[in-house]
Amino acid sequence: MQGSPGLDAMLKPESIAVVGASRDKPGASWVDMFGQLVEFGYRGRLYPINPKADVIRGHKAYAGLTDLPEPVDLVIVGLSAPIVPWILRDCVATGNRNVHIFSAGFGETGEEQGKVLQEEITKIAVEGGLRVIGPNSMGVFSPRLRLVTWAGAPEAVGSVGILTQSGGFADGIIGYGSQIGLSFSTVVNYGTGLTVDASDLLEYLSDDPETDTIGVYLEGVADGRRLFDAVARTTRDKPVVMVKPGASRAARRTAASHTGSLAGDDRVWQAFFAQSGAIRVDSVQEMAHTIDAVRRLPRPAGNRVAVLGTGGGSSVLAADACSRAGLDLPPLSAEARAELRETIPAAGNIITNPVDAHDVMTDPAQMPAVLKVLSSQEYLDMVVVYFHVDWMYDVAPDRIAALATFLAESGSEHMNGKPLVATWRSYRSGPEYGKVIREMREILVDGGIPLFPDIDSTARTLARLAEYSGFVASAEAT
Amino acid sequence: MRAGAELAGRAGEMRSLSEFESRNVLDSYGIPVVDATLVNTQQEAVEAAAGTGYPVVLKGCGSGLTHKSEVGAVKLNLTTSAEVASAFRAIEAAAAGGLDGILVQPQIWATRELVAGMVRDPQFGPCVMFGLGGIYTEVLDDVSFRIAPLQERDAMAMMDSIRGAAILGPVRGTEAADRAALARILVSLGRIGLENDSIEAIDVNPLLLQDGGFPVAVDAAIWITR
Repeated sequence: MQGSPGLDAMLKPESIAVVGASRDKPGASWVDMFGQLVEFGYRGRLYPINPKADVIRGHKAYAGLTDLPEPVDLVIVGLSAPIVPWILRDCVATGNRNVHIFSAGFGETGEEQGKVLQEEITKIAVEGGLRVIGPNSMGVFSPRLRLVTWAGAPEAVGSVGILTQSGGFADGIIGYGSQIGLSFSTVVNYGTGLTVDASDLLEYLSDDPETDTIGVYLEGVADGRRLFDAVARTTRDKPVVMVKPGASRAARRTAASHTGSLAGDDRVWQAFFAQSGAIRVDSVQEMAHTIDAVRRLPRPAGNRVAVLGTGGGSSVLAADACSRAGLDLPPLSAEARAELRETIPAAGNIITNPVDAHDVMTDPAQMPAVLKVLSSQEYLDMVVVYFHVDWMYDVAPDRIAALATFLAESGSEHMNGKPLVATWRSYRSGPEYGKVIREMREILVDGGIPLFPDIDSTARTLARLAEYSGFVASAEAT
Repeated sequence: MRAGAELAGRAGEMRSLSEFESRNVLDSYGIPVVDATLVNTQQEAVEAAAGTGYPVVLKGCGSGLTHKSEVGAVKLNLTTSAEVASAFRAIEAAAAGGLDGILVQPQIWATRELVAGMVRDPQFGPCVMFGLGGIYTEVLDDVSFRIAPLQERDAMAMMDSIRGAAILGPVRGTEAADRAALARILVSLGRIGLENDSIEAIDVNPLLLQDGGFPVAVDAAIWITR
């Protein structure tokens, strides 16, 4: 641990006090953090603090931090901003060093009163040696400890760690990530990050044995050099996938008013990514898909891809999408075409790259030989299988699940250790299409084949994977 | 974009070294710079020109004199002692007393102008810049940054990452740029930033590619905190 053993207690707390726990009422509202902790089934010792209650949700309530039977690993503060300084002084006095301030209304408002309050709590925290995440923060989500202070969190325990300045991003990446099969070790929304900032949390997740991949949403950072060093130390062993907004002027203003921190010159951030090996993405969805790809797939040797699908026009568009993203789509050699022709019937099937072969797409029995030929070409590094859902449905409704099942169960066996991914398109309305698409998604997600929502995001993600793979290879070579 | 000029807008307590001082700092870090003789009289200028070999360039040199061309303190392609003497007088008049002396340099002919620099970023510390130089710096805004210290492979990647990277290849009969020499310059600029806290920014503009593709710094400015 990088000089912050206290962060371990803070992020994996065995005891929590909630200052300002709401009194008993049916159901937990989104601002009722104590209620959320109880309903999610937090595994540690819980102390609600509310001088007006004796018992809250079956837990003995305390009038203040000074009344607690023990110092706790984490104090959660949900009271209004002007009261927060008093609570922090209590924390210092009682030896409760780890604090999550949920409350907003400080420097991030840009208003004078908020700035004055933030200066006051910063002084208390620094002088009293408090570790503070927030203010304006949703706090910590740890499925293993059943720790969460907001609604709608999934129960699955995983190994993706997230640190984010934005609470909305935390909710987004958990929600969308869960849909594509990601599960999490620790998610921290640190908001303003009073005395615990992105560098501390990155160092923590870098050393955390429960975390194998790290996602970061960051608008600004106090000490960029420290973050840079921490990320550069991490990326060889644990991929770091990062959203750093603020490239456009509008986003810069938003960033300033949101967190009160400056978004640096994007050119220097481009250098940050090029040199640290962090993978840059632009949205919740891209982060989720990139984390999925980098965790599940073998490292490609290069950026050369083959696309296997059907449809002339869509093959041309797929080729353009790959080229836009910076992927190479090499033509197949005469030998490879001849080998494929042994499997794929001539009529209506065009053997080039992309391979436009409706017979293969609707007959999984042809797939092993085709994948073997493609993946054994030394000039190809990755293969994309592109489902044309509407057309496959017309051939027979079960063809979509049949191909998905083949890929999920044995697709990777025929890939010579090269990455295999899937994507799809469907333009028709109607519940029957929704049903087969859901089925396809479930089969592929369960089977560990990354599935992307469209060919463009597929191409962008594979380009990032190839770039990251190249970074790791060159870092290992030196 | 000029690294130094941009920074000057942010911080107040800063001054620029003269071109001769700036050149000597780069030289001490092994960055190839064009020969220069600092002279104080017309006679010295003529002698230095003869020693350098015609054609020569005369430039006004003084701290704070960072926009020499704009004020008429640069005279190019001087081929006779009479032209040198007349250029000396014109620069003295144009600089209006802000001179430490006048530089006599050989005229460098090159078709490819690059730019390099260093700027101290508030979040990341010394960062190195590389890109297309001369007027293209302003017109095309085609530059790339790296955070110091740079490894050679960072410098190589940086050259590849500008849109106009093809200019480093063998374009229209010119020889390909000496990329290893360019990389050494970029690595050294990072070192200067890391080893000298008082240096806030460096502009090397233009960095010319001579015959053979070898780079040379033809003009340089260094900003320091007072």
